[in-house]
Amino acid sequence: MLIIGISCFYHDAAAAIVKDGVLIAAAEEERFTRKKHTADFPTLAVKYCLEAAGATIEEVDHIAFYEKPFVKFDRILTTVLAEWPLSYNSFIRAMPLWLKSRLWMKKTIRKELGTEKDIIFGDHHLAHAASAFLVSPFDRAVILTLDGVGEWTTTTRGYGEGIDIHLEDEIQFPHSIGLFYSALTAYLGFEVNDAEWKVMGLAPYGKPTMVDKFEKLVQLRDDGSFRLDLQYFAHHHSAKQMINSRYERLMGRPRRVPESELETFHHDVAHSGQKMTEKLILNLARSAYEKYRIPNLCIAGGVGLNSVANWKILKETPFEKLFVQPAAGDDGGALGVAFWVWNCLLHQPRRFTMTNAYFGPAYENGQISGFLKSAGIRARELSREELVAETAKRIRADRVIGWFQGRMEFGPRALGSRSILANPMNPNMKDIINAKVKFRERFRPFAPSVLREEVSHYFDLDDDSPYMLLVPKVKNEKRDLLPAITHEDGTGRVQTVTKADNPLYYDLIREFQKLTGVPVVVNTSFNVRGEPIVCTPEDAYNCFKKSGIDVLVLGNYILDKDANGEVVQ
Amino acid sequence: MSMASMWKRFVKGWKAFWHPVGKVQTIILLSVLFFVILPFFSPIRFKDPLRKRLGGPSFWIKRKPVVLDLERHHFPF
Repeated sequence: MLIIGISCFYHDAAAAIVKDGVLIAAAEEERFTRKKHTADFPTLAVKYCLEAAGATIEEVDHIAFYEKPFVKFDRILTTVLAEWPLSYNSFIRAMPLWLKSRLWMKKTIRKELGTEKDIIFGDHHLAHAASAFLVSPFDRAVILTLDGVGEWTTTTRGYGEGIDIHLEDEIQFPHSIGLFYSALTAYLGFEVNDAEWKVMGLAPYGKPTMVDKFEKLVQLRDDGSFRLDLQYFAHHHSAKQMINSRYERLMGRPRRVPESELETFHHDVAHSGQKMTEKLILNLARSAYEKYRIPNLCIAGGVGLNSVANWKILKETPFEKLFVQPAAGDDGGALGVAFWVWNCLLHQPRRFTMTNAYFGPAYENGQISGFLKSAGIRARELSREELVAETAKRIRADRVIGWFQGRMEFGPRALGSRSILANPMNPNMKDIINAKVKFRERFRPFAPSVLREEVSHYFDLDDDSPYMLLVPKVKNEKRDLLPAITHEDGTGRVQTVTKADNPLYYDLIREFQKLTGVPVVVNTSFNVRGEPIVCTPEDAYNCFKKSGIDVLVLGNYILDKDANGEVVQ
Repeated sequence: MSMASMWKRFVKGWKAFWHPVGKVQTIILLSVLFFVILPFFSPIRFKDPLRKRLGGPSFWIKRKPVVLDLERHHFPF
């Protein structure tokens, strides 16, 4: 039985396909269209999923959309009425879209897919919950879903058992941890729904001098619930603004102009806002543990990508195990709704545990060779052993590597398939990668990939972290050894690598360890600032050519640049 | 130039001309709706649908159990 899940029309559109309860393929539309965070219908992602399953749309048994559009429309209309006349701009922006296509979602989806099949409409937060729990290794777990907003819901608390999901309590719009964090992101002059990572990266540079101000923005209860003080926010009546002038007065300064200089004040705001967010999340997690007394926790929703908070949950609450699915945001809704149909609606048993994120398209050596030939590019073909040895040598020589191998990752992180790799021991490597490739803010950290069995020797962690969603401390004695991946506060956003999940990447890091004694490499996403992660060999080559990446490894092919940055033919 | 290609060009030009007009028209119609019709419904705000009031022992809302029936979920609500 084939089930296609679709999420789109907000941000990070995606599709996923499940065959007899097993995930076959999943991908974000942005990777194919090259439009970052695109909300468009995921036509190309669906096409890829169908190809991966070897099926046509008519052979798919169920097509599922990740939320209920009418319930969302009810929220939009209610908000417009409740905030009239402040909601004028929001109304004018939203209505044409809704009246034209979103209210007729069934028709829209059928038209896009070219089918007359019936569509199943899930529930946004149920899809999030399913995307974590139903593919987790747990038979029983507490579930928390935390995001900006779905239909009405922004936060849920419940539990999963076997194939059942029970979300019992919820917080509704406009009270939302995701939107609280987005407001902070907007205040700091970064782009909402894109640059929340930057706030998290900036936070360690500051001090918690403004936590008392953030505490004025939210009322917390011991039972884990919370409510925003809407006097300070604008997201409930504006489509463009997250905060109002009262928020700025409370902080003591107007919002930062994008791209202007970041001062100590901004560092402190980021730090204090992150602290407040952690306080909210930890309060929720503790209350959920008190209620259900289950040691396993699944988190889904965009807030689940706050890896610093995830780590604190493991350290500071009674939960012993945590599972956050790599595409925890709305992209994961596609996967979630497909599993929700399979397990919860069709009452089928669980047959799949997600242990890695490699569900995107792969390109065989023959396809890569075809591309290289057609583009007139000469590259050296190496055996697997030679490839590993040559790449490891280049990393040790402080070359920046574009690493394109196997199936693309599902979710926002590059995890060794579409990655830029570098030497973690070079104290200048962060600046080198920034200057050559990423062109991003200096304060943002680069993440380490480490062999799973070695992780406890280098980090304050002895568990799996395959999706870079935990941020433990780098061991004190290793910080000087790993300057390129040690962040300002002595932490690192770790990816653990196992032979079972990514044998080639594992062997590469092992080879690097043989050369240097260190089983860690710098791993950052294979893209330049403002672009999605590369998907095809052509994307990879274009990124290699226009950036300062020194070496491109495309499957078994390797290309070097000379000292002048010209590709060596 | 064939009749077909002339017709295509005419349709293209027609659309290009009327698209911005349509946009303006939409804004005018929606503005009328917003300022003339919606005020009759805006007393909804007195029921505090966005739960703006602070205070109280808990902010949780009980979720209704989901009906696990495939047919039920063929509707977008």
